[in-house]
Amino acid sequence: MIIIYNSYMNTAISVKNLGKKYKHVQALDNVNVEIFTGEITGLVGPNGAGKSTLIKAIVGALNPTSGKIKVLGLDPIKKRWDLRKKIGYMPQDPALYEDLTTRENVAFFARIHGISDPKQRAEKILNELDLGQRLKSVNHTLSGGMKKRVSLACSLVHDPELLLLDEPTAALDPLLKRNLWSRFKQMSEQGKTLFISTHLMDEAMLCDKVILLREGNVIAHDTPRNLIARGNSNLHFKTDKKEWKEKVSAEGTTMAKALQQYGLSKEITKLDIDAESLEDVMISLLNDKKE
Amino acid sequence: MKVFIIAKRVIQQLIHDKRFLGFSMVVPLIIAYFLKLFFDTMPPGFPVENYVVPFIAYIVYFLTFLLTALLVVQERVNDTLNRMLVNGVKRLDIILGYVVGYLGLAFLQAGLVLVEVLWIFDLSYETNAILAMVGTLFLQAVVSVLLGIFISIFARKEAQVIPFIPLLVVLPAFLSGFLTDTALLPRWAEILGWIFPLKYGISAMQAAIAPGVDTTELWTQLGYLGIFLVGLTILSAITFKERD
Repeated sequence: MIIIYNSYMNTAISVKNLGKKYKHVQALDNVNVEIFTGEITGLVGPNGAGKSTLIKAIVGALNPTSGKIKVLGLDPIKKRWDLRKKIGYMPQDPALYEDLTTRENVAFFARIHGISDPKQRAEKILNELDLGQRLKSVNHTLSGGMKKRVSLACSLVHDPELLLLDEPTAALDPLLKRNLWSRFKQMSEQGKTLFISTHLMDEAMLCDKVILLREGNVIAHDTPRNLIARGNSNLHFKTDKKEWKEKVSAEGTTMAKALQQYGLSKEITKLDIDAESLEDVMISLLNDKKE
Repeated sequence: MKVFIIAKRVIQQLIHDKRFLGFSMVVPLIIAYFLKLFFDTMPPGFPVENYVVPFIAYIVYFLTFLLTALLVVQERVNDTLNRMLVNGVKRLDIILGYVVGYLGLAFLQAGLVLVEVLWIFDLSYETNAILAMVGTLFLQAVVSVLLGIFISIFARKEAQVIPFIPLLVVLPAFLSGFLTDTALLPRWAEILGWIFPLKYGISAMQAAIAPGVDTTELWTQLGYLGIFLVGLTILSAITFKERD
């Protein structure tokens, strides 16, 4: 199945043996990642795991210590001027001009990308992000969530092929989060590639693939479903006479085998399956690798 | 070239920050007024103009340098500098964008102080002398913007600009011929003064108010300022960090 998948999907991001060392800190260590066009990839990991560093390396904002990166077939440093037209980058901090209005901020980035009607484009994108009422609001008067959306608008304004978003939904309320994710899904359906770092497992579940980073290393890179299958399920059995628990792999065939031995006899009056969540699996993966 | 896009944004920022704009316009005027009170204490016949006219270049120099350095460091702190680079803006575009953007402010600042100083000190000059002063202040402002950008490279937060003030604002006041004739200083101190662009701005202003305008001296000093302009542009473009 993976072979079929690779054969028709184009690679949007290819990272090979990537390393980045800051004085005494190894921020990234031999990272190997391949992201396909149209995918939404979630980048997950604890604070200081190297998520922002990896995103910065992909956009060409830092010099890797070792390894190679290709983004949309281009070297992010040697071909940066060609590449930067095609990518949208939203840093972790809003990175906006506090003295400018929301529209001026977005129009500035539109002008940089040579868009002929920067003001109209800025208004359109801000309206789509539910900021139509705040076009003339100076940035420092906005809430944290609003600033996040203005920052996102700046990265979307030139309609990039590839979006790299560093915690785009932090400080957003659940409804806005949901709206943004449906927008991300739409963009993915239109063939855009999204690379999104997040701390939230419910968001990671919405991704096509999830990369788990710890101390600069990729611990896992798989679909959320496959990652959950790496976890365990606790089966709670109950008959009239006794009650017991069994821990089995959450992977479907293993679970089926575990249940086959009981043939689900009539004696069993109750069966609860308590499957580990993606968060549980991630935490145990992080702890496994530590040990 | 995205120079004018950056310049437009810088001007938009200045227009929105009315307190900052007002402060940078009014403070030089207040300083010039106190200068008048100070020189009024001097005995009659004291050559006031030899001090107050070069002083205008000094105000333009330190305010422009300081404001630019602080605002560029702010861009670095807010990560907007990085964001511009990732969006395909080149280092030279940013540097020149700042120069063009701040030039209007610096020029307005210089113009207002010039008018005030000539008025309150009751000084009058020929048109060519006034033009020489305006040209000098213009070039001095450009060089100061570039110096501010260059210094911002060494500061990771706004407070780190402060240690440069004694070095680049106070020291040149003594070594640039503004307070005393540099020829009277020890040779090493005179030579040290050559590294500060303010020295050439002050000398050019002195040449502008010399009887009949000392054209040769004026162009020589403006030439030196031109060398600083090119040198600082190249140096800033080279040292401006594009990536971590």
